[in-house]
Amino acid sequence: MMKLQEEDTSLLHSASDELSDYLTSPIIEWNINSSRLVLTPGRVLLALKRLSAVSINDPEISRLIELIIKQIDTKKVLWQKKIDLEIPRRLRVWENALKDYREEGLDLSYTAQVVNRTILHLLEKEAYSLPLSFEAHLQTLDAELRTLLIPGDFVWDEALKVVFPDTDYWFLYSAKK
Amino acid sequence: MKKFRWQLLVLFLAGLIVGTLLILEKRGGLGQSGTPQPVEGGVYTEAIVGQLSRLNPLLDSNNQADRDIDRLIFSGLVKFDSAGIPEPDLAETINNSKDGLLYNIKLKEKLTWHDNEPITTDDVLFTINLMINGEGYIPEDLIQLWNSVEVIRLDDLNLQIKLTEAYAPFQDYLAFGILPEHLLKGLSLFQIADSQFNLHPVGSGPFKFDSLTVENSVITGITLVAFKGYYPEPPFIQEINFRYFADADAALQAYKDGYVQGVSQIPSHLINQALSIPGLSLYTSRLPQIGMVLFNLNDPEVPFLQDKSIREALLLGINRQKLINDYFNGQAIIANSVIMPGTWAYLENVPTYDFDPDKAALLLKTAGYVVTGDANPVRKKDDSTLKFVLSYPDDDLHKRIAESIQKDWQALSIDVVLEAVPPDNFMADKLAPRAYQAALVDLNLSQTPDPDPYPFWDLGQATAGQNYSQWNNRIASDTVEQARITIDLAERKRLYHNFQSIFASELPALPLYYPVYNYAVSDQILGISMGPLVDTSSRFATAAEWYMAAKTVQITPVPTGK
Repeated sequence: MMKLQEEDTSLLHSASDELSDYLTSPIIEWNINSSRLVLTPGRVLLALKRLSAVSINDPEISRLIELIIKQIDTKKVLWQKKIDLEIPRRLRVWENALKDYREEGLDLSYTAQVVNRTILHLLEKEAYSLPLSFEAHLQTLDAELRTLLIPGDFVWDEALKVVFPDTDYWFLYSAKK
Repeated sequence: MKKFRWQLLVLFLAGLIVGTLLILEKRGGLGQSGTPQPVEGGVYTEAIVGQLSRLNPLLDSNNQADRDIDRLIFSGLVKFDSAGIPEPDLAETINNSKDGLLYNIKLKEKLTWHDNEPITTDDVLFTINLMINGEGYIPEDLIQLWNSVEVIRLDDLNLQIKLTEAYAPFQDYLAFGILPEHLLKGLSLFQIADSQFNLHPVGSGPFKFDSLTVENSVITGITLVAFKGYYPEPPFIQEINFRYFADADAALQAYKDGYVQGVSQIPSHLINQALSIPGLSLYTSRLPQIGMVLFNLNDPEVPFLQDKSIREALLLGINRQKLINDYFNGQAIIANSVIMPGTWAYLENVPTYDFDPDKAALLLKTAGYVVTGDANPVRKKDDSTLKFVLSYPDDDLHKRIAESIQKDWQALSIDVVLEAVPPDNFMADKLAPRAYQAALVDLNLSQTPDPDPYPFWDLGQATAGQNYSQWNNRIASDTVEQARITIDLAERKRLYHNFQSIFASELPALPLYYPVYNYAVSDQILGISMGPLVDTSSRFATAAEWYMAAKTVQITPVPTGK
């Protein structure tokens, strides 16, 4: 949890400096100068979501979340345009991961790869409008994923369960069939 | 009622003519042969509605009477012209970089406080720091703004402000009243709030504090005198006295009794009376307020409100001129835009929707809503009934307006249920949680002359901000977001024109009226001009040019030698 928290905090700190430049640029995946982290709307949404699990007890993180949300709100249209661009890319990455699992079986990398599915869920909620094919495409991929999984324990740190309920994030409560 | 509209028009034109003549004549220039030229002299006494709290520009946001007087005592780096465009006041020049990230500000030379101490950039920095640390007194967004910029003192007259990102309305925020560091150094705003300074202020405006009038331990008046060191030239009027009154009725009575020469506000119920008083001139200007009906565009129980043609029908069905005549005594203007008319960003030919119940009925019918029922006819489309709740602040004016709108809409067979909400709870119970279907509101945009519609209409503000309608229009939002970072005024104006066109076409809310403000002054006080107001205190924007005495200039033609 600490590692994820540090990573998410670091991403949002960088975002607070670079978000404006990123959103006004034509770049979809913005390499943050000071780290190996990459800035995309999905990655920011994931960090916001994960950090919201600890923000109640951490006023500094709470302030950071508030700052990022405010920055996004002032450039909401640019933000949503970036989301439009990220969705098909993210879908492709997730599709490729599933393809590998289908051929070689689910492995430990799922804990990391399922970030893409989680981000797709967050992007879907934040998007202004979705491509017509998006829902059907994701449903197909989800059906495929269900053939590889059985319900199981939460795949990330227990502390995050509170913000990722199994009703919406069933793919985070899974084990290999 | 027609009579009042004519009077309004006449007053507007008179104001315009006076203003134009003043500009053409220019202060201090030679008058035409035989025309009067203002000279120093005279004492003006005004009845001001309200009471004194703190004469301090950082502490007057909740007290109109204080703001009015502060407008004469204090000044800022910029002030606003009649179109709402900031122009240098204490500043000599304000230059910004092309990217809008850097502002270089130079103060006018030899400026002094009322106590003759020099005004320097230290005073500006001191005031900004008070705002930054002014939690509890200064609005949170203002604290955040000043916290987000870097202010660098270059020397006594020059300072530089660095923004982290372009923010086109920034210059408007330079209008804050500057406080003297040499008198308040070492004090926090919290301490200043309790300081005697607020009752004996020292500023840099055209008039300086002289004395308070105290009767039975109550402050009943205040005297200001002309500041001889005022830039560019000292005022003509030598003394201004304010006398406090609890309400406008008492203030007008004081005029009739000969105690005062002006009244700070004439509400609509006193218009007739004021107009009948010989020698009393009324100055009228649009207030920075707009009355509207907001719709909750995200309420699944009233899906028809998401239909543009239904909203258009609702606007066409309201007799707004009747509202203005009946409830404002003619003292309001029909609103067609959420940007204030008379300001630089207003779209003059914005589409309008005159009262047309037949067209409204046709639109509703075309949208599939037909009248059903005989006793209580109401429009229906399949299972959807044109029925919704209109919430309003529970005061007499809004009650009557809401009832009038209800009547207009009922005539179109729309079932409108009125809901009275205590005004103090309206925001917290209805608007903020988006717990309403339609709401009658007055948006007050005073003290924020920049027309930026972002806070109320951008989709970024739809869930947690002030976009209470939850209007989710990407093109409109793109336009206002672009405008916020567009420094070039002409380009910004174009963007706001586009925004207004979209707004008028989509009608996410129904603009109803802009109330007007009436200020009454004896016709012995001359040179008064009043443009569209940022705040009612802006009536004093040209107070240094008002005059009560004049001399006649005779020019003898000089022989040309021929």
